[in-house]
Amino acid sequence: MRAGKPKNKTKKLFWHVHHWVGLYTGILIGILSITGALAVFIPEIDFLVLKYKYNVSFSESSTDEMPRFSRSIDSLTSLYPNHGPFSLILDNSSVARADVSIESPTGGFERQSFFINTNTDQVVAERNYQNSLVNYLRQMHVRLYEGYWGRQLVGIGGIALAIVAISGLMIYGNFMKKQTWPTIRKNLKLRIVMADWHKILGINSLAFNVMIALTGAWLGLQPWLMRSLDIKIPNRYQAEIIKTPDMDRKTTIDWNKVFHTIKTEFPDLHPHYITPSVNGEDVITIRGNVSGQVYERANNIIILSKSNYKPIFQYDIREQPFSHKFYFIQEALHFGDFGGLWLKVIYALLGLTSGFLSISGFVIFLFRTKDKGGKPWKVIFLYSMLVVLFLVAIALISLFIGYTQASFVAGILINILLIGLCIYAILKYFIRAYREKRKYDNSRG
Amino acid sequence: MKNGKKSYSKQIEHYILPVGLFLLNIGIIHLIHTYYNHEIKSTTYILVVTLAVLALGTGIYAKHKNLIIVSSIIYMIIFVLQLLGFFS
Repeated sequence: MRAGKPKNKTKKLFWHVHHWVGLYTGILIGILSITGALAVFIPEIDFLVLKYKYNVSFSESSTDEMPRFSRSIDSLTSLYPNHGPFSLILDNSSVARADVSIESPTGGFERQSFFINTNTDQVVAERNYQNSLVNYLRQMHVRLYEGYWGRQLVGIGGIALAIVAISGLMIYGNFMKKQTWPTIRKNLKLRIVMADWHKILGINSLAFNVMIALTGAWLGLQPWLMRSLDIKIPNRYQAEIIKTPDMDRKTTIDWNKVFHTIKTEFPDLHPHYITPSVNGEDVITIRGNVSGQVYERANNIIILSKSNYKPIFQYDIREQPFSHKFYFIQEALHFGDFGGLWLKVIYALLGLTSGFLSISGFVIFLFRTKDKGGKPWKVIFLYSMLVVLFLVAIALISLFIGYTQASFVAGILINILLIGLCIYAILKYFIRAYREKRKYDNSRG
Repeated sequence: MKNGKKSYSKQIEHYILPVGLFLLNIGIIHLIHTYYNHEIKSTTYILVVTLAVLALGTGIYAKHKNLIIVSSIIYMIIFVLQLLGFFS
């Protein structure tokens, strides 16, 4: 029996689960760990991109004054009279973003972002959202750029991480034996050093990894789970259609009145997304945050009528039942955007541990099988380069050619890899079963 | 204690430390969130969370069984009370 391999039957089962689930999903967990560590900084990265690439200057916005954007919005809507839905995104800076769905030359709609200086009420920059760096970072983490079932695959990665984290805890004692926490044995083989780091970092970040895994599994499998279990989005409100879309689109909005109503009806709300209807509902939907809460961003809602600016629907998460709070806590916990930059740094560091655990686990496995003719360093280098190549190639295609093309290439690569992995696992299982059967037959004579 | 060295305790190493580290993960995130929102949190609440997390961290660093157990229980009580809206 190898050192550290548990004797007890249950522990042996946990060891096998940890070993095989980790081996087959390690690469997925590793990619999600790296992309997740970057994804928590999406707003900060976007700030730098806008500042240095688009020369957008930022300053703190005054909390007392209403942001000025009505002239810019009017000019955008008259420039694109047949626009689809549009949203205005506000944060604490002097730059607001207007995401407008405009008719694409190839048919359908595409999302164009316009940046408005809310001190001067001028459009200062524009870009295609789909081909932006922030969209790449988000889509790579959320669905690996695979459009059909990439999100579900990420959800499966979450389940796998939860399984390896919990099974790792179950076998922790067996593997630590008389070793004390947090000792890393020195001057020993690389496999032993890696195993020590694997155990120490694994136990140090266990709660974080389990939380990320479970929230990630829910977020990844959410569309499928919500469809299968008939779960409705808790803050969804469907207004009646009372106008033609064209009339609705052309209705002039008095933004002073909108902000005045928000202040009187929902004073704690910090408006983040403002979406005037364009389908005939004749409403303005304002989604926003209430300070100090650990819930998905912009889950609080107030919907105003465009004709008299009276609220027709209001959703304050503080007044909702536990089930609603539980639903909206998942994304905030997963992305760590409720505690400022320091929390994001902690999230990124702890998030990278799952990537390190995947690599160290793989190194331990390869060095253990080295005696059977494996070449560990070559394999590690090859896998690392393939992952980097995949991430960089998709980023370049997405940024310089287009999101659709990048998604197409990623889809082909991921599905070929998955099919290959499944065939390999099935073949390996049958070859092993056949060899064991032959060995048994030979031993019987 | 023998020859100035701490004796090895399987109970602490295999069970109490992992529980303490588990809660410390939650505690650190909770603490940062509390300080980030210090303007809307009461000073008593900030102090209580800080002391509980510090005690837990110290207990883990010193591998002090009783300190880990007591601070873990105190932190869990604070955490559950927070979830129940006791401090809001």
